[in-house]
Formats: sequence, C-alpha cells, structure tokens
Amino acid sequence: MEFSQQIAQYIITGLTIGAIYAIVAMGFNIIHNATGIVNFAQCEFISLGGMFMYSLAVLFKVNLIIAFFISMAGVALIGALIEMGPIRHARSKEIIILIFLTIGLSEILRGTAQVVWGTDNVGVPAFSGETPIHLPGGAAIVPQHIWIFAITVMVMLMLRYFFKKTLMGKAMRATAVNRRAAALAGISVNRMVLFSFAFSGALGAVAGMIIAPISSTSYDTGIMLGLKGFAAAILGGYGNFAGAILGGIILGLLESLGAGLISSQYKDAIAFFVLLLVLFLKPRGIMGYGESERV
Amino acid sequence: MNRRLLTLVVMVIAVSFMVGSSLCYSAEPIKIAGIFALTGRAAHIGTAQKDAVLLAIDETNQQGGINGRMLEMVMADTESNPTKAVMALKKILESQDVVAIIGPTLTGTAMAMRGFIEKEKIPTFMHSGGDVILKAPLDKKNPNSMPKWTFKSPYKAADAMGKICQYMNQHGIKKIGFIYSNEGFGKDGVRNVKVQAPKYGVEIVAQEAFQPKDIDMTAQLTRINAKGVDAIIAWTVGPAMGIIAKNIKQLGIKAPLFECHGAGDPIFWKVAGESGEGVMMPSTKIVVADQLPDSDIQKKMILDYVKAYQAKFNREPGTMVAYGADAAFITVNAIKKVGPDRAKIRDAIENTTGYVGISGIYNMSPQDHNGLSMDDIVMIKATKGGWKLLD
Repeated sequence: MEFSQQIAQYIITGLTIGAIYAIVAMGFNIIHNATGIVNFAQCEFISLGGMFMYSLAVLFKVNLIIAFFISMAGVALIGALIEMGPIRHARSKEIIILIFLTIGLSEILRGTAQVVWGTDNVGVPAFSGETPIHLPGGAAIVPQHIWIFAITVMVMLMLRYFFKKTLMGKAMRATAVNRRAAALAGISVNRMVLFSFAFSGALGAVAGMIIAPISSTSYDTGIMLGLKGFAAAILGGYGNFAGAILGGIILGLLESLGAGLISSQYKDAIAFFVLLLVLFLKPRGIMGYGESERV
Repeated sequence: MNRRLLTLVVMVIAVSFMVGSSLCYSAEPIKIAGIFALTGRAAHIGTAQKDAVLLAIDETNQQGGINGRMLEMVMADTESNPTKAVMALKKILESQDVVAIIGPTLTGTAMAMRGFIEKEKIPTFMHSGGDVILKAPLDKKNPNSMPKWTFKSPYKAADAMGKICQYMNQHGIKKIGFIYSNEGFGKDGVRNVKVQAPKYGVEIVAQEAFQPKDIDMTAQLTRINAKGVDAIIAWTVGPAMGIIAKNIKQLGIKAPLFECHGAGDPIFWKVAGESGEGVMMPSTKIVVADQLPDSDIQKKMILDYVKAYQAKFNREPGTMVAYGADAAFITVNAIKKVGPDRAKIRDAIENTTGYVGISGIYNMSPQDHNGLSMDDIVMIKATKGGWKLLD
C-alpha cells in the first residue's frame, strides 16, 4: 500500500473518531454553560443511547430510524429527570457538590443499566450495510463512517441555528452569560437548565448510537468515550462550541496519526502529551477566551 | 417428681443439643471463593465462567455434597481491574474460611493476586489465558521461586499460539502481522508468538498494539497491511475481537485473520456480526462437540455438559465456559478425595492425571500446573453464526 494511501486512511479514521469526541464534548459544554458544572453522567448518556438502540432495533425489531429517535428522546428524558430531581433539589448549589452529585448519578445509572442489560457487549446493525467504500485517495471507509460525519455535521448546524436564531436558544445563551440578569429579564432559568440537561442527554445518546455499529456497545462503553470527549472539550476550550469540534477532531487525528506513524503502543500517551502541552501554553484551551465568550 | 422433671429437662436439653449440633454440622458448608470479572471489560467472560462454576457446584450439591456437607461459593468481582481484584481477595480471606479459590478471569488480575495467594497458601485454579501466571518467578531476583499454589485451566497460550503457527505452516502462510491489546494477556501473546512462529517457519513482519477499550484499530491494521502479510493474528478478548474483524473487512484486507483461544464464544458473533465470517482460532471442543468423530473420548461428556448448561441457563456455552467448568470440577474432585484441607487439596490437584475435561485431558505435575497439551486444541473457523471444525 502506498504511503499516501496510508496517510489518507489515518486521516479518515481520525476524523471519524474525532467527530464522535466532538459530539460528546458538545454535550459537556451545553450543561457547563447552563450551570457551570461538569456533568459526569454524560458518560452514561452515551452508554444508554447505545443500549436503547440495541433494545429497540435488535430485541424489538423496531425500524432503525424510529429506534434512533425514540432512543434519543428516551435519554433526553432521563437527562431531564436528573435535572428535575437531584440537581434541582440539592440543598447546596455549590458547584463542587453538584459535580459530585453527577458522579453519584452516573454510578446509579451504570449500575441500573448493568442489571437491566447484563454485562455483555452487543452489536447494533449498521445504518446502511457494511460494504466498504473505496475513496479516490485509496482510503476505505464503511457507510457508517459517512453516517457519523453526516449526523455530526447536522447536529452542529442544528445547534448553531438553535442558539443563534431561536428565542429559546437566545434565552439559553443569556442564562449562560448571566443567570441573574436573565432571570430579571423574565427568562425562566430553571427551565433553561432543564433543557440543557435534556439536550445533553440527546447528544450523548446520538454519540452512543452512531458509534455502536462500529465498536459494539455495552452498559459501560460510555466511560472511555466520555473521558475522551471531556478531554476534547478541554482541549478546545471548555464551554466553547467551535472549540469542542476542533478539540474532538484534533484529538481523533492525534490518536490515529500517532498510532499509524509513531507507535501504536503509545498513541494515547502521544495524544495526551499534546493535550498537556496545549493547556500549558493556553490554559483555557485553543478557543477559550474567557467567561463572556462562552456558548 | 422434682427429680423426674429435672431428668426430663436435662434429657430434652441434651437431645436438642445433639440434634442441633448435628444439624449445625451437616449444614456447615464447605466454602470455595469464586473471583471473577463480573463487571468491566472482561465481564462477558467472567459471567460465563461464574455460571460454569455454579453449575459444577450445583451438580455436586444435588448428589449430596461432599460427605454430607454442601459446597458454597463465596463470590467476588474483580471489576476487570488488578487493584480491585486484590482488594476483593483480601476481603474474602478476612471474613470467610475458604478452602480453595476459583478464578480470576484476566491475566492482569491473576498476576496481581498471585503473590498474595502464594503467601496465604490457598490452592487457586485460575481461568486466565496468559502463561506468565505459571511461568514468571514470584520473586524477580530468584528464578526458582515458582508458584506452588496456582493452577490454570485454559490452554497454555504458548500451545494455542503454536497450534495457530502449525496450522499456518501446513497452509503455506509465511509472513504474518501481529496485533495485540496492550495489557497482560496481549503482552504475553507477544512473548509467545516470538518463540512459536520461528519454530514453524513463520516470520513476524509487523507488530502493533492497541488499548483494550479502543473503538477503532484501522490505523494499526493499515500499517500491518502495508507490509504485505499473508495472515494476521489478533491477540485479545472482548469487544476488540469484533472491531478488528470489522476493520479488516472495511480496509479490504485479504489476509485471513486468526484470533486467540478465547474467541470461540457466542460473544464473538455479538461483537463481530457478519464480519466475523471466516475468522479462524484455536478452541476447546465445546463449540464443535457435535462435529467430533464418535471415537473422541471427550465427545459424550462434552455433549452431556452442553445439555445441562443449556437447560440451566438457556443459552449456548462458549469456550470460556469450558475453562470455568474444568477448573471447578478438578477442584471439587480434589476436595471429594482429600476433604476440606488447603494443603491436601493443592496436592490432589497437582496429582490429577488423565482427567477427561471439556478443554482436554489434564495431566498435572509439579512442573506443569496446567496439564493440557497442544493435541487437546482444535482449530475452528467462524461460519454462518456458528463454528466449523478444521482439520
């Protein structure tokens, strides 16, 4: 195989994995912008998305498209319930306490998922077959990769439209910038926080569902993806949407090129070394400017 | 009157005490610790092994236990994590009096537990694939400090690797790429393939690693494929088995894929889907029992076991079940023979010879705490959601 073909393959792989990291990073960002906390239950949203999809599509033989949207709605609902229950009713609103709360919730969700689905890894059918497509550059991809790209881009565009153009999106941004001012302007802050958890749940579910046909899924697949997504969010600038995309793609490319060109044994080390280097030089991440520029 | 009443009371107390104590005696179970990866990345293996061990214990108890005493398994979860495994082991030993240990599942957890087991002197039958648990000295400075209390039921990884290389030799495969998960079992595979491949005239031209939880190995496989290999060996268990098979199909790599002696399991099809078609691997006979010739001495006992397993758990047993069952039955047989005494059980396990198990014929010795040989292994091919016996 030509060297240029190899490079093309590494880049395609890196972009696919990076797209997933980017979606996960966005989920972290949305909740961070609304509440200032890091939601560790994001990892479980990913696992739950994959497992809901498996239950519907494989066990109950529901049409894939319908299964996709039901799973998304289901996990969004779980996200909303988390906000309406423990997060809203927590006695202390200290950020650190709420973060610990999400760690506990994440354990509860994972434990429940383990009881419901068991510990086996299960496969989910690819959205449109597994026949590889050979690109002109010599790299090969499976249709699922195209789905991953397409869905990621679509999700990004929809989020952008939502936050820039719709009234509710603007209200959510206002809440992110200044809670009290937003409340004084008549925005229901509680409702905005609720939506942010639901959105974040839906995003996690999407990430879990689009990767499931490639990597298979289980009650705890979200942990690794969640942590990588978190790293991507930090790399790009925590809370910044464009940064999430950039961070995800850079992390994906670093891993894939690191494994392909340098050493597969140290690929995570290479990726995280670069992450540390970036944070050392730009502590707020690549696109992070400061508080006022979140969203 | 008073005197007769007193006698009566004393008699009642005496009788009830006797009855009570004898009841207590017969109810006192013999405890075995079962330490498995019930959660974490090897959860599917640990759960299957736990079921296999439970089935063996149930069978013994239904036949009246051992000298009227029931067997009881005290279970613990390693969470597929070496540190957690040692913690679970210590917790059991502090609170329960166990005569033997069955498990753990992963080589990494086994290595972490081993030193402690040897110090506490408890016979332990492990399910871990890697050979290091028997071969590596306990004290790095003293090459003679071999484990005395540790046994393992799966094939020696060296034999499984040898079987693959022998098969390659017979089918004209000369240049191979080796891809492994970067943890205990995978690294054990690297050591083995470097010894076994040259023996059968096979050359390793590429060697790549991945992290056990990775979701994509196309980068590594692209690198291997660029070297122009005749075949690829993937040394890992868990979801990665399927991801590699899928990635190979995706990249259009024509070289056949061989996987390890843990792949012959229904989980393989769950994670690989239709991409699993054609993957070859060394395996126990449990998944191809019905294809064995009638002259095979294991055939009948394997078929009986498969039937019992299906009846109890309502699913197909895989090769991991065989390793769990063999470890459990050999341990139970040892307890039957010598009673609940740790040192005697250890000796009885070490003296097991000619035991017809599911994985093969176990001939243990002080030098060989596994007892299986390369002849016990069969090569199989993943075909249409099932398995085909290769010759």
